[in-house]
Amino acid sequence: MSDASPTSDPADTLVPVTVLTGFLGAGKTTLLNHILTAEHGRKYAVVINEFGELGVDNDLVVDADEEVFEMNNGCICCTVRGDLIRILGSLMKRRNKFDGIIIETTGLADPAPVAQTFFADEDVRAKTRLDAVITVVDALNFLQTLKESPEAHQQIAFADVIILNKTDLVDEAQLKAVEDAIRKLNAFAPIHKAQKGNVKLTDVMDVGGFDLQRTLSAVPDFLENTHHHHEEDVNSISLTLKTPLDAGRFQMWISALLQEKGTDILRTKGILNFEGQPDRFAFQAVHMMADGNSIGPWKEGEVKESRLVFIGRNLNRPQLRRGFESCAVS
Amino acid sequence: MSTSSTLRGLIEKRGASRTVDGHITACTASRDNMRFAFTTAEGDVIIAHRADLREPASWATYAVHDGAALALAPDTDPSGFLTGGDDGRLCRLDMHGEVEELGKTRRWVEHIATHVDAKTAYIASAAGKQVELRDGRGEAVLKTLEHPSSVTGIVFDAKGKRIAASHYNGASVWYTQPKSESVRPLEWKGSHTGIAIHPAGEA
Repeated sequence: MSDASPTSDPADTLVPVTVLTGFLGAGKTTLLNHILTAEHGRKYAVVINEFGELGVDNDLVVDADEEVFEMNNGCICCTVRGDLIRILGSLMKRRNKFDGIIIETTGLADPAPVAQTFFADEDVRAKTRLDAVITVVDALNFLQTLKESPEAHQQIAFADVIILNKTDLVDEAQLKAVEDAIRKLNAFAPIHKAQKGNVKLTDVMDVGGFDLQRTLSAVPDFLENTHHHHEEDVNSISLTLKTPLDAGRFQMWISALLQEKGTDILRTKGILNFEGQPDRFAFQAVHMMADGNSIGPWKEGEVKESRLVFIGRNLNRPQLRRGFESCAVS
Repeated sequence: MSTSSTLRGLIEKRGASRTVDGHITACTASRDNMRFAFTTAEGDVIIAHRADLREPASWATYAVHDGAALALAPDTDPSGFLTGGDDGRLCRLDMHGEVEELGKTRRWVEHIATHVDAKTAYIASAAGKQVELRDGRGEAVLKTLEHPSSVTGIVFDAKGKRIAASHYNGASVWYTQPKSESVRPLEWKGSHTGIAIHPAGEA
């Protein structure tokens, strides 16, 4: 919460971690190899799961076991990846050997425990930062997958960036249908179209810091009057407030809200304008675990307003809006 | 404050120190207590002999692992060491500085334990969910022990009759003798990060 100047920003010394998710056969490993072989002069440590069929072309590859640990707070959604804590801890002793870490998950994995690892474990938090969750979507099979598996919903909901792969295999109409289906689940993550994982590196790597801001500033206002979705479905809601927020009130409200509804709220992200603070405050949460830091002053000409995005199930828009508005300074 | 200055005084009066790039990942003494070994995150093993303990410049450095050295234990012979690395290799470093590869897996070799008494000698190494139990030479794998999740520590009891491994949600105790296949699971919810056995076998 301190007003660190840009040069001494501790975030710069943290190792960026990119999480790659996507359903079986969506093209995760192809994308991974594309990233690794591209000309970027960077070295990555890659953590893969044991079921990968394609080889990964990299010096430092670590096999992981996807061991999901419950935290001892009795909450069933507070889970972390125990194997990742161990592996990241060990990798950090060789900090000089790589510039970033890429974690590939199995197609059936729920991304929450991976993301939560970066919130929950003190050692991991002190040395790494979750840059982005990248979800690879297979344009050809996505609609079918979506019907059959709840994990696919989770993976879309958790995405910071979505790679719509295999676009060459479908026609315009289906591509549109797939995009619409994605937008229903996650209205905010940028979608990049690709064939055989040929994405621009800048779209997937090191997007974190400004991604949140770019994403949120790109939130289309039509969301405000979008048609009503099924309540049980994963859905996204965006709220905007022009009046500055009272930091204390916001903390009270958001922690109570996440405590109560954290099981349904998959992700929360926001850029906030706190009263008396010159800097923008970036807030994000995975289920009940929240984190935030100031990300430098508002840009010239930028509208000073607070934006908050929720992705989850059973989201009650009027209730959330009332809650958010009650945090404004009076 | 006073403790740390006392300690520094002791190092200056009675010992020596050397700084390496990167982290030291483990240290131990050989079975005859004549030599000390330190492993590094660079994959090196540094050996200090008792005779030239106070002259760090004469400590020998051996490049054993490609990647970090993660585990270290005294060998079953009096003077050697065993190391495990994230290159998946279990290696022996003998008193002459010769490196011998005893095993190789795809996983990181994160833990090693050894046991020696008048009758038997064992070497155990853990990589992922598996513990491999070898004879004292390390050449033959006697048993491969499977665990429900990654092993976080292994230990022999004082008599070498049993070996125990800690992991998520508990520990598993196995008999070392080849005929016994049974495992005694000790369940205790939570993430266990290490294990020890009471010297008298009481706990």
